[in-house]
Amino acid sequence: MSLLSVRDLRVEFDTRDGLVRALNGVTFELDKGLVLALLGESGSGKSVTLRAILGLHPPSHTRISGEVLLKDRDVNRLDEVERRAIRGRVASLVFQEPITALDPVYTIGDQIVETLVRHRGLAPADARRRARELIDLVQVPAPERMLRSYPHEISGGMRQRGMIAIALACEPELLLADEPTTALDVTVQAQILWLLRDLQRRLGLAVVFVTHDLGVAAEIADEAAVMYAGRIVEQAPIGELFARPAHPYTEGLMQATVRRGQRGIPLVPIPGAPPNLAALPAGCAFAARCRLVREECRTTLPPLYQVRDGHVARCHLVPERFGASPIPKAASVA
Amino acid sequence: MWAYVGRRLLLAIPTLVGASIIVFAMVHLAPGDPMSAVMPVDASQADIEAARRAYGFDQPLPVQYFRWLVRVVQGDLGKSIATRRPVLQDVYDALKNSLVLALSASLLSFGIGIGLGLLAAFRQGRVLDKLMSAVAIVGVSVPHYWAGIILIIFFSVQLNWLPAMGASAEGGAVEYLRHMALPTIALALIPLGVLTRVVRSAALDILAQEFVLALRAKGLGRAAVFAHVVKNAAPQILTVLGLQFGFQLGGSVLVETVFSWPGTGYLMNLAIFQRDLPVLQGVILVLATFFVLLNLAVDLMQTLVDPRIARH
Repeated sequence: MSLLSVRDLRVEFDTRDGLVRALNGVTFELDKGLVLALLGESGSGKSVTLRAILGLHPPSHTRISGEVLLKDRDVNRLDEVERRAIRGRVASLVFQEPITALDPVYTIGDQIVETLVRHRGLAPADARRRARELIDLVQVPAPERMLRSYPHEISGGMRQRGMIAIALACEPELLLADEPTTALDVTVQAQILWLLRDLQRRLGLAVVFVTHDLGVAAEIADEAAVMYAGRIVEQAPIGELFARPAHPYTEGLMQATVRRGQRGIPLVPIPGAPPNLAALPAGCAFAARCRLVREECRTTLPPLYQVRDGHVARCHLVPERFGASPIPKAASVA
Repeated sequence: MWAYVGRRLLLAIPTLVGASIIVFAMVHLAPGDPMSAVMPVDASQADIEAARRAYGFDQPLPVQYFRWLVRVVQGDLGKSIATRRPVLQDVYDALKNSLVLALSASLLSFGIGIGLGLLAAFRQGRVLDKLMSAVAIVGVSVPHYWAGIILIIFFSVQLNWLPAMGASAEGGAVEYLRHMALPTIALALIPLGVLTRVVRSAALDILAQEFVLALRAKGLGRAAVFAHVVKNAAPQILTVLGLQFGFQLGGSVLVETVFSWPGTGYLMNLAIFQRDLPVLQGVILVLATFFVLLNLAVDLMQTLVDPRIARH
């Protein structure tokens, strides 16, 4: 049994511009203590996936289908009260911008304490003591001051540590991290990344780590799933993905990223822009930007092909490039 | 924090001086000779000149201003030209009545307005929201003197439930409250509409922010999220509360006149028609001072709610 099992998850938003298909059948699993990186450009559906896992999309103009099994309970079938019991308790969310994700008129301490009171029913004094422990856990040099501080009084890195402390307050098994280092200075990024990796190992956390940065993914993840236009187009163990990118989009991402020994080799951007999610093409959504595109790519959605054991890619060219065959849909789970 | 309080207090002084200059100038720039209202029609030119000298109207304006200011600071607002009673006493009595009316109207409009605004925000786009918005628009659009007249026609003339005029000093508290009822409602309509709209939009601004999603993401229930939203919207709402209370205190000329409520607005109206300059100046100055102090109080209260304000 997996801790998290997402099956054929579809999320559509009713907007003034029509139906926006943000997620178009996302399937993946995550076991306890493992880190999955969700890679992709803005608008590929990474954040939508995280929010759907917690059932946070407003029901009034969102249509959701498929399953999100968190400890074998389908979040999509739970009512709001049951979902609240899961949020922060079984799975927590860390946001990209701690300055906007923290309430500006409450101290960091109060924001940790209220989470503890909510889920643990702790007395205020006990919750304070636990908050202090959590601040120590996220390695803050002046913990008492941190607890008394409002978000605007501390640095970006400290704010993100506070955010992580809130997320970990009730010892969740799953951490959903939505580009937690993107908004920070480069040196601070590395610190937060190391902190997260350290915490993940010490606490045995499962993590879904959303990022557009391949380097960050390589640093922290066991496995990576590359998303494009609301679908997972390639998924593999992280080393395998770097060694053998099978989808042209994944290759493009790698060529557009600065790597060690890059000097003298020009970066190659991916031409064009992601498709409009309100008007997705019939075939492969990447066809319009793909250097290897063929006629069938424009008309037929490619199935998932198995490149190697544990490595799948959604591209018509996989069989001839890697000698692989399509895998039946029931087993299309990496 | 205390430095901020001190700075705000110091800033209030030039504001008050500015208000006093405007009050003084406005009244003196208005056309019409105050003497013509008090002197008998058959008074000789020499008598009129003598009266002008007695009241100090023959001096240059700056001199008149400074003399006036010095007396004002000592608590002497002069004597009414029409009644010869001390202006301070008249203003004091009127202010008491207006304060009572403003407080009751504020209680009514702030309570309902904040409630409706929050309700509308948390039910955004649904029937209830649209209904609240309609109520708000009616509130801000209906002229309150007209609403006052309608109230009188309906509740006093047709139904004969409530008195239409005056503030009854005899007859005890119940009679006083009965006299207050209609003017309170008429006065509460505009702030009710303004508050509903302001509170709704302030709460919607907060609800759209990411931290509200973050609060839900950590499992907080509706009541807890509501508390966060209210605390975040409070500084903006407080500003409007202060302004609206000030308006109700001084801006009720029409309502007080319609209901013959012996407050500052009624007194001002009387003073305008009698060209009673000292009274007019006194009322406006006292109200302006109240307004400045009210805003000062609001600013200081905001720093208690929002830790970011004292920094700027």
